[in-house]
Amino acid sequence: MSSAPPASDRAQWKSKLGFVLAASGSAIGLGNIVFFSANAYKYGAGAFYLPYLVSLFLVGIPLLIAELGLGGMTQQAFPQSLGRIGGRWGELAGWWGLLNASFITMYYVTILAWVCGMMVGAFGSLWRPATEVDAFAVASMPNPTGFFFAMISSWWVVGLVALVWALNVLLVRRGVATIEAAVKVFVPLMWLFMIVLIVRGLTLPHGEEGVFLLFTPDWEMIRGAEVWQGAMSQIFFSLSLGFGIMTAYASYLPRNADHTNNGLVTACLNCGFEFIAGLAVFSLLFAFAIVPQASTLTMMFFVVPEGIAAMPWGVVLFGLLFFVLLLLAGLSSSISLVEALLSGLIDKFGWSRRRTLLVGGTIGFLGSVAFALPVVVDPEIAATGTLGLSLLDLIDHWAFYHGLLIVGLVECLLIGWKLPVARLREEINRSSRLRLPVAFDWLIKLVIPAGLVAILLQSAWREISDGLYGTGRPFAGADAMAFGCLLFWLLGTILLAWRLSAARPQPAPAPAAAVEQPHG
Amino acid sequence: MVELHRSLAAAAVTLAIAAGAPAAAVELRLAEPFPLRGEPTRVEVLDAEAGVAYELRVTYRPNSRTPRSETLQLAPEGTSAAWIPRDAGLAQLDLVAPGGAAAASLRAAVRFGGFPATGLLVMAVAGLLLFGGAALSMWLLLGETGPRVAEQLEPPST
Repeated sequence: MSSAPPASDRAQWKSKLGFVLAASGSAIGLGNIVFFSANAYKYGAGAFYLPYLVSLFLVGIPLLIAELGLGGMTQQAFPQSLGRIGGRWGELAGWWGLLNASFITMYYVTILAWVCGMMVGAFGSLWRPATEVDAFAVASMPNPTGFFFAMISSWWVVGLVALVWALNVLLVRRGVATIEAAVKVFVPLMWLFMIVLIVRGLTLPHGEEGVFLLFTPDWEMIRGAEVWQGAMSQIFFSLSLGFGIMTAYASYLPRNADHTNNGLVTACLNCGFEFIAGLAVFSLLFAFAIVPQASTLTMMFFVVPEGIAAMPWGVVLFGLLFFVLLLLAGLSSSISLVEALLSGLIDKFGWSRRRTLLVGGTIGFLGSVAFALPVVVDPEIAATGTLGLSLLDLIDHWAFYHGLLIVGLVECLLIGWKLPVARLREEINRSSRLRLPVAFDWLIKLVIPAGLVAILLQSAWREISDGLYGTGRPFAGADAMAFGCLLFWLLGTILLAWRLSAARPQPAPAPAAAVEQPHG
Repeated sequence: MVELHRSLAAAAVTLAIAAGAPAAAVELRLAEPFPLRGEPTRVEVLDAEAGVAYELRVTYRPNSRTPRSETLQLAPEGTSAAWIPRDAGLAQLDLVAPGGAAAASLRAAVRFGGFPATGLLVMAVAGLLLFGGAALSMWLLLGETGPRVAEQLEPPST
């Protein structure tokens, strides 16, 4: 079915700390800094936090440990690991998951390119009262919104996309060796920058009240099923579950690595980062009475910069700090997304890393450019303004909000019922200091799939009752674009996954060519 | 990144008001910039059009899935209203003209008033679980089990 290099030939992390930093760096991304706060506010802040904690322990940690254990047990990338369990159909599901994640990688890089653009603006023009946006019907817009729309409607963003892809290629060129070196710098810096932002947020007048808002439970609202669904979704997306990243990363660990503790430390660091990000963002929201929107992009590019602009001093410094923090967090996640796909292709076809990176990087760059297209389709900005942002919004809706959940569900069913999960638990317990209880089996077999099915059914119902996402927008061709994106995403990923899973595996290359060793 | 469309549309509406529409004549102002939950405060309506029957609405947790609204009673002359905030957190005050159009809006941050014990408890427990859990797992990972895994990581000395 597949022809991965033997475990002994496969590159491995140089240290356990390196793995922990890489896994937590992968999990900690743009979503942790801004989307957590947006989601927490959306579901009632204090009403959200307790369900979020419960979901972490009942859904996030067990599934994360299962993904890590799978990679450790098979020593192969995500599609090949699922293929070991479910044969051709399992591998197909794995490839579908990776291809779905590839769509996310492409627009994730585009968002990082916009972050770079905002970072340049943070030196001055972003903080001016307004920006002229000739491309749209509204001639001048207040900043930071005006700056953002002026930026995404200009072609220089394509250059920034090339820059971010170049950084990604540079950081994964030698596999785990270069990834490990990068995260050892990025992750501590992210924590440091976030702590600086917390101190600034908490020292704002009444900033501490924002913290009370985040953590004080609202017992009336906490009973709502929607709050629990929101919390479970947040945990699922926040921990990078369903991407195949953790399985790929764990496949570079020795077979007897402690996956329980690896999972625990990764999940705790990830949610610990969200904890402190929540302190920083909520103190800012309260101090300036800013009402957030439940969207990563609006939170990242409009809401938080609006708060920073309102600060009495240090606007440029804290603005830069915020965007550098976003860039570091985004890069540590995007390299893991790229690596997950590379490891799958290398394991399947035995290509050299250089060749895989060249092919993957070129396709990825072209995809990211599509999401950055500055062509104005909606001059009134009644919806999403440019073609690139419209495509990004639609693909994000399907790949991120539906694709990942479907992958998670298939993964749980395969591991839970086909492997079966008791075997995985025994394998994990053999080399872990903390033993997984039998309840782990039932969480993977029943509880998590039931929760995922409930969320997916609710989403499907919303598509039926509200109309297909993206249709009915007030600009020409909106409906065709909405249907086209859904078809392109669905058919593209299924057909390509079918093709990849049917392809005959090639003999593994010599270890040095497959995954270049750091000092080899 | 759900609801990007709706979020951006909302942002666009705000932009249209800020950039294109004529400056609003009516303005809302709070007597206390950061009112306290349960403590009376006053909302002033400045430059209101005489003779127009405005309505003053408060939405607690605007833009969330759990908003709560109430209508404040404007004084007979229509220039102020008494407000006792029911919930702490973010709120939005809208002065609504007959026909439903918002004549003026104001965002407010309502303070808790004192330290909410349950909030601090949840924060402490969460902090302990997350950072304590990370520290414990890290210690277990890098501590006693270290040499066994390290043997696997290091190449044979021969």
